Amino acid sequence: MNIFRNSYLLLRYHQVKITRLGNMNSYYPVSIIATRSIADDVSKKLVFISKSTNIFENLALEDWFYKNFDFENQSLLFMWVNTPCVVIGRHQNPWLEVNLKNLSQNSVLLSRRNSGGGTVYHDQGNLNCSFFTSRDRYNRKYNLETICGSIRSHWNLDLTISPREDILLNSYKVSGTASKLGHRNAYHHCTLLVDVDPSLLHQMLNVHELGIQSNSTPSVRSPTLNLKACCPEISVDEVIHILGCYYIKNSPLCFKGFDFVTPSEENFPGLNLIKQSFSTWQWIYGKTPSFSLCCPIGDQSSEIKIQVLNGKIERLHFQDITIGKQDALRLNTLLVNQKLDSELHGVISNSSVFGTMGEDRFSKLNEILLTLCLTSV
Amino acid sequence: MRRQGLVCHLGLQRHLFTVGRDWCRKFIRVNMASATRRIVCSFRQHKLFYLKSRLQYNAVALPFNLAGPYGYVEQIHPLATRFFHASKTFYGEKVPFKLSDIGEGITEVTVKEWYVKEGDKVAQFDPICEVQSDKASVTITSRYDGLISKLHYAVDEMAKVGTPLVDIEVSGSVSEAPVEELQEKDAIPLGEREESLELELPAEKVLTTPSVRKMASDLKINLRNVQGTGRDGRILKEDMLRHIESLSSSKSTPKPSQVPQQQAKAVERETTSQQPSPSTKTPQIIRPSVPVGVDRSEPIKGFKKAMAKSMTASLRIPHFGYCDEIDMTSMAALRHSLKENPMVKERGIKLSFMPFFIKAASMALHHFPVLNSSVDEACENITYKASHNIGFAMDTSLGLIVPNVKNVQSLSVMDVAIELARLQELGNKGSLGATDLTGGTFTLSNIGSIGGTYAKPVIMSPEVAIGAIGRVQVLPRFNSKGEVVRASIMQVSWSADHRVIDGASMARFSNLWKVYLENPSTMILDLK
Repeated sequence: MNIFRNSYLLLRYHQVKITRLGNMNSYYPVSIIATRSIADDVSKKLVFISKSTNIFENLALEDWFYKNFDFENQSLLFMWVNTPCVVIGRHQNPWLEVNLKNLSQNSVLLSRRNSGGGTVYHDQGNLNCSFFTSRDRYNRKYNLETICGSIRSHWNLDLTISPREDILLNSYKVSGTASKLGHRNAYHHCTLLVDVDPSLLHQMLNVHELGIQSNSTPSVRSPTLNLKACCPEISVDEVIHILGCYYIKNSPLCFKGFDFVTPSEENFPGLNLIKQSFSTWQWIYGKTPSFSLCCPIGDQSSEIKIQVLNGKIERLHFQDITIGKQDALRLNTLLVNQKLDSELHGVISNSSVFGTMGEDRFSKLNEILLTLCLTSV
Repeated sequence: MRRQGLVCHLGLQRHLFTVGRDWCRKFIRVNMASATRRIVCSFRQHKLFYLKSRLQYNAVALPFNLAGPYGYVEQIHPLATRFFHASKTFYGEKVPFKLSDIGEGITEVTVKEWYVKEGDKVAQFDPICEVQSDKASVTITSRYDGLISKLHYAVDEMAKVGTPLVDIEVSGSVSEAPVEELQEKDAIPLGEREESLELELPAEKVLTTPSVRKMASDLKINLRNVQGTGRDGRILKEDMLRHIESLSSSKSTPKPSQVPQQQAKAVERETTSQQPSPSTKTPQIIRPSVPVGVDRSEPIKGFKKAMAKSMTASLRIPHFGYCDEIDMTSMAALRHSLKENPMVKERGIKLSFMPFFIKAASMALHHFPVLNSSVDEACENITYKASHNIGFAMDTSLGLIVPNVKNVQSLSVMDVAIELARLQELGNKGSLGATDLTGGTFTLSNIGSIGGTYAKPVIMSPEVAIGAIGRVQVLPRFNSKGEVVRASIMQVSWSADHRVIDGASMARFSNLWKVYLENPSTMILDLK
């Protein structure tokens, strides 16, 4: 009997059906979805769980829902988990937020999402929930209450919501939130640290000061904690199940279980295009708001100010000039209008420009430029 | 810079213009922004330039922002004066588009990205800019069609809610929106949900449609005297007709009112207007004042709607039926004896037949796992479910619901009975949870508790089989000795999905179930 009891426990949390959304020919699959969920008076509640763990696919799917779904009469909770990656906000500066060197060393992906807010680190122990509603039903607090309520009801964890709309556990942050509002649809997504590797998290988000001045959205750093630290039996799958059930508990009978969705082109026409746009250098690094940083030259007070626009070095300002005109020209031709990517990294490393100009004077500049070029796409 | 030729369109013709050096330089800078080389753009704002073409056409290059998205070079008649009207409002009225309330008590946002620039043409609902407030990134869309004439904020500046964000030159006027064209679509641009387009009309003007105006002028009625019941006090056709009627009734001359179309109110008025005028010639039909039954219609909501939807889904499954008769004499005797048993009494559970049916079904399902399976909608995969979650139909005041008992394979008859009692109690209160209502793999419907013998139950998708149990009747049957004895007979009707289950499996399952129930001691043999 005991065997059955254990399998009962396992099965209880995996009693979700595998369904395909079917072959969709249109961008508005509302009619297909409508036959599955039962309407109550307010809105249908759908729960989708992504089968993919690729950050770009999931971000693209999230964007697809935002652009193509009609949330007039329905709301969606979309849950997804990713392999290790770092996600920065729409108007953030990756050089300011992320340790690019550690990123490439640990082969962690970097991506930029469409909503605002700060930088987060994802891995398989982190659950992302996106609450999609129509613009007028957008309510961040309600969504966070749903999460807190579901976890509180099942595990003995006292989660609270901070004034900045983060979820706190014993005053440690366990969730970050961000949202995007359009004129018709809106979504609010948040992370939930269930069992994330804390050392990797700190490594990725621990940036050496480069002296970057920018108007990009800064991340507000807070000490974090895993839910598992306070409750060992919790896991991401369980949270998915509990949260999903809690989300739809108000909608009545005969709901068929959660839908597992595969982000693929045949299920979601147009998805590949969005996914590609999210994986390009142009989006991840090129969308950075303009920033500048000053780099001292030699021991004197002279500086070179590097202005970067759209991820490309726009200009070099030579302040307090003790740099010869020839040197300045060489630097300009080498660097101006170049994208800060691995190609430039190679060019700078192999270039003899710094050698001819006096290596010790320009060593700091060399170092900074090489650090900036550690972008990897 | 040397002289360059510019190609422009003049109406449908292309002409080559030579322009001076100065103009040329500016042209190139401006023209890089436009996608086509087809149109000559202006030089400076609000000035007109007179170009002479090789073909001696007199033409005017209109300033960029006055001429539309790509400036048009238009041929002018020498006497045409309108092109020389260089005022800013040539294209349309300049409307400041204010940053509307984003919600959440936010008063200031940072402008993060502009999607348009000055001089761009925008359509309604085109994205204008992206603003960010704390963690919310909001896309502001345009409210009007028109041309962007001014951006009030640069990137990374803080914009206050309620202050103008951009100035848009709207083509046509905004202040008098034609009544018929007002559309209240759900995708109303940000913030303007409550208020419609503000109609700042002069005090003398009355809101109404042209057809009503015509009617009023024909009948020489002053619109100011008519009471409008439409939005913002608009005078609708019905109001007009009502006014006419009231006028006619006050004049006490029976005036046939026009029959308006389509409105329910109009229909009523029609019937009232068609009543015969008081005249002694036609005999009056005496209508008795007995209330007559009326049709009542209500929307299908809640449980009924759920049932309608699930039944529609279920009937896509090709059903086949299989019916049988079960001799419940021994089962009835067993139940009767168990009721008196002290163990049962002490547990305080009312033992009906249902726990036995459910447990017997689960035991039979061990031998026929295909009946405890599930197929997906395209019928491509069959999943043999490991747990026997047997649902039973419950009739509540709200409608039919089917909660299920989970994992019957690991429960005893008593456990099933306890679980049943719990679910029934919750069901009567209407507080069954989603977990109780979902995840069922097999269903039994005891319609016999209400009545009936044979039935044709409908399979609940995504299950593949269902059984309907009829009423227990006492009927004469022949026993093994050939004598007529009284037997408690119960009918059962199974329905199964013929795509995955064949008749033989169903029949064998039913036989096994029948064996368990006709001879309850066989259940002990297969006890696990």
